[in-house]
Parts: sequence; C-alpha cells; structure tokens
Amino acid sequence: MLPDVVRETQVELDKYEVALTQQNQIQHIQDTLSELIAIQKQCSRVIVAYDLLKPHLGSVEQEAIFNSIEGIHSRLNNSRTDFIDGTYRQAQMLGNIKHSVNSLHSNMEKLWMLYVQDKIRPFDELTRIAKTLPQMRQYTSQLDTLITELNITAKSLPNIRIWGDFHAKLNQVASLLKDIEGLSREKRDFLNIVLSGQASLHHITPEILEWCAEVGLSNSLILRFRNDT
Amino acid sequence: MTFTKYQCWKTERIGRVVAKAALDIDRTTFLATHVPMRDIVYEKSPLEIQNTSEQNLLAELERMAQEDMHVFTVVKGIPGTGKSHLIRWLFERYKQNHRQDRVLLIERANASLRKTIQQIIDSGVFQSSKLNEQLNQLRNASNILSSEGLADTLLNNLQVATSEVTWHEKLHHRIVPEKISVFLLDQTVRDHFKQADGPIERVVKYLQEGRGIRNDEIPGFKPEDLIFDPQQRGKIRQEGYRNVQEVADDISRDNSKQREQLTRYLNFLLTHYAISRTTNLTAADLREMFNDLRQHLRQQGQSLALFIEDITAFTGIDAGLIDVLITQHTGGDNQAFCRLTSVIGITDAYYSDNIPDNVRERITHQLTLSAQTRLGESDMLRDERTLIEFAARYLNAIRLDANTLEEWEKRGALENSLPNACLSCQYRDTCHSAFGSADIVDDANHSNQVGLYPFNETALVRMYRNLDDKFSRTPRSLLDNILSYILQSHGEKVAAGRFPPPSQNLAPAVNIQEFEPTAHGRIVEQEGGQDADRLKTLLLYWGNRSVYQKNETVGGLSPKVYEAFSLPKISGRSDKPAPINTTVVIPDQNNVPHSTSVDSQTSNETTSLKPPVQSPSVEIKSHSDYLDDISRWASEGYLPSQVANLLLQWLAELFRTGIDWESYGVSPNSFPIPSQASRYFAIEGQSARIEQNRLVFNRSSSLRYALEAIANLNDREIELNSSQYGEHLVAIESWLQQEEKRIVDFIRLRAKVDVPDNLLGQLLIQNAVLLTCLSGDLKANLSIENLYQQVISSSHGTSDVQESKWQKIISDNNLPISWQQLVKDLLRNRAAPMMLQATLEHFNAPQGDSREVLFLHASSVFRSLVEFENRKWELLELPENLDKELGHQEWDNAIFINRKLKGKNGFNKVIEDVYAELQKHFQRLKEFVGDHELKPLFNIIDDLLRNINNIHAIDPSLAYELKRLDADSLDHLLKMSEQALTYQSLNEQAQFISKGYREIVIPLRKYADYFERFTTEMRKVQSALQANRASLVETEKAEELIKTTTEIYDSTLMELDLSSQKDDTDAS
Repeated sequence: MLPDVVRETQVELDKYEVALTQQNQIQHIQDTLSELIAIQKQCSRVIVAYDLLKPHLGSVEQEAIFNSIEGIHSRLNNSRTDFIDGTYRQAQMLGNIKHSVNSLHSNMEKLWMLYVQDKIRPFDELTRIAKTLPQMRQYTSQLDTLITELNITAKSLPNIRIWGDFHAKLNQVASLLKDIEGLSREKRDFLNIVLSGQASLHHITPEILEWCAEVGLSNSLILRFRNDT
Repeated sequence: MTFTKYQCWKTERIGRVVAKAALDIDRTTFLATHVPMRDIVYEKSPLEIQNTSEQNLLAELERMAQEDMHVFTVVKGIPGTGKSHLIRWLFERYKQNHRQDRVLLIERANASLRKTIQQIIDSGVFQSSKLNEQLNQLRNASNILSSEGLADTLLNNLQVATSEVTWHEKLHHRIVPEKISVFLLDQTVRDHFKQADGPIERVVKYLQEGRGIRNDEIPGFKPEDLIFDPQQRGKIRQEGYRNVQEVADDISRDNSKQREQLTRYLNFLLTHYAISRTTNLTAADLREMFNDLRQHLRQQGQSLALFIEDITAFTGIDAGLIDVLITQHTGGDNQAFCRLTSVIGITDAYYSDNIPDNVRERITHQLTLSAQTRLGESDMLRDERTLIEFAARYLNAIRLDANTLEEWEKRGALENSLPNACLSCQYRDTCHSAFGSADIVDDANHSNQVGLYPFNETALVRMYRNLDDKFSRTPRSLLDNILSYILQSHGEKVAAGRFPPPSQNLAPAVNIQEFEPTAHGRIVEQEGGQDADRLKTLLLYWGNRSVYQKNETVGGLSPKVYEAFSLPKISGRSDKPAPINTTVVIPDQNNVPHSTSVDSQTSNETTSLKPPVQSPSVEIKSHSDYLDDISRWASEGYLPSQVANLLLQWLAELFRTGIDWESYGVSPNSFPIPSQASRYFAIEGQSARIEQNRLVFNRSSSLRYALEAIANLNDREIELNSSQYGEHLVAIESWLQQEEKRIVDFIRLRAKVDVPDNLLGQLLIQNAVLLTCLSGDLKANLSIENLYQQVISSSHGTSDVQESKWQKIISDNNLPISWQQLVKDLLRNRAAPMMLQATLEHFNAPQGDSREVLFLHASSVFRSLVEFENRKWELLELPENLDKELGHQEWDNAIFINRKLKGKNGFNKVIEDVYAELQKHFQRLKEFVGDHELKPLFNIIDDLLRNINNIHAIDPSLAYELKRLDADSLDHLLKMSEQALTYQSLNEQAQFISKGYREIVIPLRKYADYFERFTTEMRKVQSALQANRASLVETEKAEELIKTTTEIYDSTLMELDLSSQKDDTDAS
C-alpha cells in the first residue's frame, strides 16, 4: 500500500536527518580540536621564547607582549565557554585567536632577531680585522662558520636548547677573537684602512710602524705607487 | 516425286543466320538478310523529309556531308526493332562512298566497354605518331578493364564518388553520402557486392565481357543487392563502424524506401563517375582525345564518321562520348576540327533518362523505329508485306550454304543477284503454290520469289501477332521466338513426319489459338485420329482456325500442305455463310488476325450481326443433330457426355461474350477458355460424373430452350429464318438472365457455393464491425444507428489510407502483442483494407454508371448489424463448403478475415488479453491505493518526494511524472475499469476494448507502473538512508572528542595564564 511506503520512507528520512546533524556536530568538534592544537603549539613556543627574552626586553616591549598574551588567554577562555555550552561559535573565535597568536609569534621573532643582532654585531669588525692578521688566519674558516650558524639560529624563535646553543657559539667566537679584542682604536682604524686598500704612507705613524714590527706585519704590508693621472 | 517431309535447310545454318544482333553475323549474311526499312519516322530533321526510306536517310547523310555540315543522328527504338541493322547498313553504304574519310563502326554485339575501346584502338584512327599519347590512353583504359583488381578499383572509385559527385535527389538522412562513404569501405559490404552475381561482379563482367547486353540491360545495383542477411549484419555489427551497421540494417528492412533510393544513388555514382574514373577516361579526357583526333584528321584533309550501334556499349563513359558527338567543326577554336558525322542507336529508355535537353537540341536528325505503338512493337513489321519479306530473306539465307552467299558478296552483293535457294529446288512450284512465297526484290521490273516453307503467310503473321504480351513485337522477337525457335526445335521433325508439333509445344512465346467455331476442334479430334494434335496445330496457325471445306481446301489449306507434312486431310465441314455470330456469341476479337489478306479465304466468318444469307449450294438442315439429345435429356434427364461437353463449350462461349464481366469487376481474362468448360460447369443429368466444385445447371424447360437455341446457332448447316433467329435469342437471353448472377458468383468463387443470399453481406458487416473495433474507432455502448455510422466511417477511405491506418496499429507497441499480431495477420495481402473497401462496394447503391460509393443500402447493412448484435457479436459459423479459399477476392478476403478473427489467436484472444491486462492493472492499483482517498495520497507522495530531494538524490523524473498524474483522473479510470470488468458479453467487452484499451487500460497501466516504480524507488531510498546513517560516526566518539578538546582548552589556557604564573613566581 502506498501510504505505508510513504510513511516508512518518511521515518527513515527523519532518522537520517538526526544522524546527519550529529555527524555535523562531530565534524565541528574535530575542526575545533585541530585548530586548538595548532594554537596550543604556537602559544607554547611564544611563551618559552618570551620567558627567555623577557630579561633582555625593555619594559615597553614586555608590556606589549604581556598584553597580547593576556588578550589571547581571555578570548580563548570565552571560546572554551562557548564550546562547553555547545553553541558551536568557538570555531569562529578560534580563527580570530589563531590570527592573534600568529601576530604575537611574529612580534616575538622580531624581538629575538634584534637580540641576536645585538649580540653578533660586536664581532663583525673583529672578524674582518682578524682576517688581515697572519696569526689569525688559521681561525678564519671557523669564525665564518660560527657567524653563519649564529645568523641561522636567529631565524626561529628560541627555546631552551636554541638559546643555549646560541650563547655557546657566541662564546666560542669571543674566545677566538680574544687576542685582538684589546687593540687600540688607532690600530683598528689603520687595519680597516689597509683592508679597504686606501692606506697611504701618511697613515703609517711611528707608533703604527713599531706595532707592525712587533706583531710581524712589516713583511706583510706592501707599498704600491698609484698613477692618478 | 511427292513433295512431302522435305527439309530444304541445314539445321546448323539457323544459328549462323539468325544471330540475335545484327553485328553478330558476318557481313555476307547481313547483306543477304537485310530488309530495307521503308517508313522510318523522323522526330526531328533540319528540313522536311518526304521520302522516309533508309535509302533516303543515306542520301540525307550524303547531302549533309557535301554541304560540310555537322551530323549527329540518333536512331531510337525499343530493343530488337532493327536499329543495328539500319546503322550497319548505313555504315556499309556510307563507307563505300567515303573511302577517303575515316569511317568507323562501333559494334555492340557482345561488346563490353573493354571491347568497345579495343574496337576504337583496332580501327587505327589513332594510329599516328602525333596521336601516340591518345592511343596509349585508350590502351591504358583497355588494360585497366582487363585487370583482375577491377572490382576493387571500381568500389574504391564508387566510394570516392560519394564525396565528389553531387546528386539531384535529396538523400534520406540515414544514407547521406558521408555514411555511404564509410559503408563502402566495410569489408563485409565490399565482399557482398563483389560476390558472384553481385552488383560489382555484374558490372565488371559487363565491362569486361559484355554479359547481359543482349537484353539491353545496363548493369548496376538492384534493390535486392542491398539486402544483407542477418549473418552479414551480425558480422558488420561486430567488425564494422556503427554507421555501417545502421545503414545495413536500414536498407535490409522490408519495403525500405532508402534501399530504392540508395540503389538509384549508387547507380548514378557508378555510371557518372566510378567507371570513367576507373578507366581514366573522363568526359574531359574523351573530348580532348577526339578533339586531337579531329584536328589531326583536318590537317590530313579527312573527315570522321562514327556509326555506333548502341550508346550503351559506352556505359560509364557515354556522357563523354555524347559530348564529343555534339561538338561541331565551326565557330571559334572548333574550326581546327574535321567534320564529324555520327549515327548512334539508343533505346527509348536511354533517350528519356540520359539525354539532357541541351543535347537534344543539338541532335540534327532524330529517328524512331517504334513510334506507332507505345508498347513494345516495332514499326517495321506492322506492315505485313515487310514481315513476310523479312522472314523470306532469312529462310532463304538459311537454305543457302555459306559459300554461295560469300561468292555473291564477292561479286558485289547486288540486291538483284541475291542467290535464291528455291530456284534450284525441284518442288519449287508445288511448294510455292501450297505455302506461298515472297518477292524479296524491291524493284517493279524484277522479281525474286522466295518460298515461305515450312511456314506460310498466315502462320508467320498469326504467330507474330499472337506473341505473348511478355514479348515485344520486334524483328528480333520474330527471329528468336518464331523462326529460329521453331526451326531449331521442330525443323528436323519435318523429315520424320512429326511436323508441326502439338500447338502447346510449337513455340512457348506464341499464345495458343482456338478453333472458331470451337466445335471444329472436336471434329479434328474425331477425324484426325493419332494426328489430331498436329492437325490442330496446322489448322490453328497455318489454316483459318476452322475445318470449313471450300473447293479443295480444308481450313483454308490445300491438300499439298497436308501432304507436305504427311498429315491426313480430314473431310471438314462444308463452307457456307457464317451462322449466327450475334451479339451473344461473338468470336474473340483478339484472335482475329489484323490482316484481311491472311484470312481472306474465310473472311466471311468474321463477325456479322446480320441474319444468315441463304446459300443455294449447301444442303439445308432444319435443326441441329443435337436437338434429339437435348429433347431426350429434357424428358428423361440423361445427356451423353460428348453432347454435354459440346453444349457446355458453347455455353461457356456464351457466358464469356454475353455477360458484361467488367461491370461486375471481373476481368474477362479470368473466365475459363471454352474448351475447358467441362472443368467448371455441368448439366444436371449429364452422363459423366459431376465433380465437386462444378456449377451445375439444373434441368429446366428454360435451359432446354436455351440449349436448343445455342445448338442450332452453332451448327453451320442450319439455316434459320429471322423469326427463328429471334426466338433463339430470346430463349438464350431469358435463361441467361435467370442464371447470370449465379454464373458471375461462381466465376468469382470458382466453386459452387450454396449459401444464404445475404451470407456475404453478413460476413462483411460482422468483419467490418470487428475490424472497426480493432482499429480503435469504436465507442462503447452504441446504439445500432451509431454502430452503423462508426463502422461505415471507419471503413471509408482508399485501401492505401486504410493500410496506412492498420500499419500504425501494427507498429503501436502499446497494444497487446495478440492485437498487433492479429492485425498483422489481417493485413496479409492487404486483406483487411480491401475487405473494408469491398464492404462499402457490396452495399453500394450506385448512382448511374458511377461505382463511387455515395449511398448505401442502409437497410441491408442494418439488417446485418441487428443480426450480428442479436448474436452478441458471435462470429458466423461458415458453411463447410466455404472452408477453403475460393479464388474470388471479395469472398476470399471475407472468409480469410472471418477465419482469422475466429481463430485461436483471433478476436477472442485479443479480448482475453486486454481483459487480463485490465484486471491485472486494476488489481495492482487497488493494492497500491486500497481504500485511501486519492487526493491526500497524491499530496503526501508529492511532499515526500520534495523532502527526499532535499537530502537524497533521486531520479527527477519521479517528481516530474507525478505532476502528470492526478487523483481525479485515476479515480475515473478505476471506476471505468470496475464497470468494464462487469461486462460479460462479447459485444460489451469488444466495444469496451476498442477505445477502452487506449483510454482506460493504457492510462491504468501508466498509473500502476508509476506507483510500482515509486514504491521500488522508495525502498531503495530507505535502504540508502539506512546505509548512510550507519556510516556516520558513532555518538560515543563525539563524547570522547569533546573531552579531549576541553582538556586542550584548559592546558592552553593554563599556559597562557601569565598572571597566575607571575603570582606563582612571586609566591615562590
């Protein structure tokens, strides 16, 4: 009988609709979970980095970061409430939170970069000068490697291990350049002019000449005549 | 010495002399047998031609040549009229007068295109260093035509032609050139066409060997060539392209119009492209070749003359040849060409089909050899003198030996000195006086009499005039079917004393003759003894078809004729003025020779409506000898069979001529010949046993008088005065009037039918009612008046219209198979439409002479209808003697249809099937809808479909079809069905199914089918939804996910909670 067929089909249809709704909910939760896991990972890295850098940050920077983290915390808390209530608005909120976490992460990276540059910059000139000195030539390659590795380290937010590695390598560089670290400004300027190929006779003062003889540079310096015409 | 059993010819000469085409025979025989044509009809000529003889035609060609005028002469005529003879004679004479020119004869006999081209090569016209290229081209064409791969080359070019050639007819979309192009590539199709006696094989043979040319048959595709058997179609289906399969299936169907059209199309491609392309001799090639030749001849100071026996010898390149022949040698560039004189033979059919108007305009002389008659008769032999001379020349040539004729030819083949075998014959005088002779010299001052033996004038003319209609009346037919056939088949019987043979063996092409009066045949049988049959032949063909005796002759033949064939001369009957050939008994005009001279001896026997003239020289009888027999029969009821047979023959002659058969719609030809009367009729009391299926004439006084009258009238020895004559006519008329209807019905039925007067009417009406019912035209619950109107209205229309209506029913797959099959059976031999037409004609009330059905004898129809209605449409039980076909269409169709309707698979079976179907669908629907209200039911179905559509994909047609169904209509159908199922009687059920099947059962089925489909679909939907639901993630998994998510929320929040960390740090 047709009415029976219609009724039975309608019952199946209703059951299916309920099941479908449940399936949608689960999908929603799964989406929330995967989003949340991503946020959690990002946050963990930022918090670790913040903890490490915090002593080296200015108060303004510290406050800005703190506020950002606070805001994220607050909104995540709201999202949790929505989730528990089953209103299913949390996914949209998580999207915004994720955006904020990314932004925080980016800011932390910049701060870390600044920290790294500050630490490396003093060794740049020394490394360059060291390459002119006969007694440093054997360390040149090692220095280059270390400086490169330090720069690479700067590209991702630090955790405890990265932080430790960075500072260990920084110490190695400092150790290698220890001998030339005490050179006077006058001598460093002379060597920089020599490296740039601009040194002339008048740059060779009696003190410089004496120091060259001391450190064995006399035989290394070659005098050339330049025809300006 | 007695002139008897003398054969003055050698059998082997017959084949040599009577060749089937003029050019098969040698020049000597040709000249010896040539009969001048004296009256050729000119359909077109540059000036009026007074003298229409062949001599003058030659003179006309000469005149044109002298005036340096272009000649393009066409000699038309049906096959066998002597075109070849005329053209060859013109060639022979023209050649003699133009030795400086190039005069070329293209023979047709046995010719193929290959041989035709070879003839041109062999003629040497292209034999010049300047024409090497052209000669090579011809040789190349000849080689191609000889090659083994000709069939494939032809097929390939046929396939190319589909894309190269534009055809004037619009082709059906199923056989457009693109499809045919692929079709011709298919291996199965190609093999089929190339098989033995297939179309391509025939064409190849025609091109190579010229087979079929004697029948003037141009080879090509025939519709039956395009029928592929199921096995071939299966092969095409497996191996071929889809298009090929479609084409093959389509053209193989019965009555396929596409097959006819494709046949015409392929033949057009064949003759207008494929052959010329295959030979590399296109129209342009041929024109260029002949133009070069003509330029060359012009430079040599020569002209060209072409005598072409038959243009069809050029089939395939004929269009190009005609182009050559119409090209003149005047004006512009053409001035470089030599003059061209051409004479070509073409059949009438070729002229009308292949000579376009622009070519016709350029024909200078157009002649026809068959102008006088439209149907297969040559003009030449309409003149009996020519016919006799024609036969005499051939007989003479057959009698002479080849050497004698060759000697004559060497001496110049002068007409006046043509050898005559009769001159040296010892029996010449006897023979010529008995069998006659003909003067074969067309000169008043000279005579050359040639004997007609073993024929005579009468025999030759009568046989020729009585050639069966299947054969054309042409010189060729006279030679093949009479002279050659009789001499070859029976010539040697002369010496054995067995000539002529019985008439049925004489010559199959000649219609058998009858004696006149027919009673004379009996006399020959009685007096001729063992030679009766031969005597009959002699009298029927050589004589005057009677045994009248006059002077020394019997049947118009002298005793020398009988003696020559070793036949006894019978006594015959004395000749006297004709008895009564009245309006009642008129000799068959068809059997009277046209010529008065032939039957001059018996000319007084032909029709005369005057009372007989007294002849004092003959003994007068007062009454026929048979009157005593008749009188005894009248009183005692006994009639000797011999007398009865004779009387029946006379009666049959009376019926044949005295009844206006055509007014009854009966062909006079269907009437038996009088000599076979006893096979059809019988006289009550005749001594011979009366077989079944004879029409018996009861013993009565009126029959007695009629028989006496007819006996007297047929006895030539009786002289009747005017009053006796009148009395006899009245007696015959009076009896005939009584019997005419019975005789007519019998002849129609060819059997005795003892049936009620209105049986045929009843049969026709009841058949018509049921046919109307099967045609779907009948409404239910009709009054008799309405039934009458509907049956008549449904029966109206030509049989073609009717047939088309019935064909639609056959192809209507909605109808039950038994219905379709029954209609198919009823349509066999167009029985149903013809019967319906016959029904109207049967009840027609003719207005004047018109046979148009305008008014009907309604009361008769009503009577039959009421009677049928009273029987509740139970079909009539026919009398037992009507249980087989009777040979008359009206009856046979009515009986056939009655039998089919009553048969196991007849009308009742249709009703059973329809009712079974009705019951079935009604039941199905009841099961579907139960007692539910239909409107709400339709609404919930509609809602459900919409709901499903939002969630699950279903066939959209389900919802679409629902829109076309509605509750009210279903309600109506159910009510009507319920009512129809209560009908118990045949007529109620029959009236219901006529329209009810289409209007109730089919819609009912539609609803039931829909609901069934709906139910099936819904079950599927249910299963699908269940399966989908099962595949969804379980609820438990959802709870676990929520727990995990909440934990991650918490841990992340804890991590981010700097305030509390700070507090903790502070605290620590």
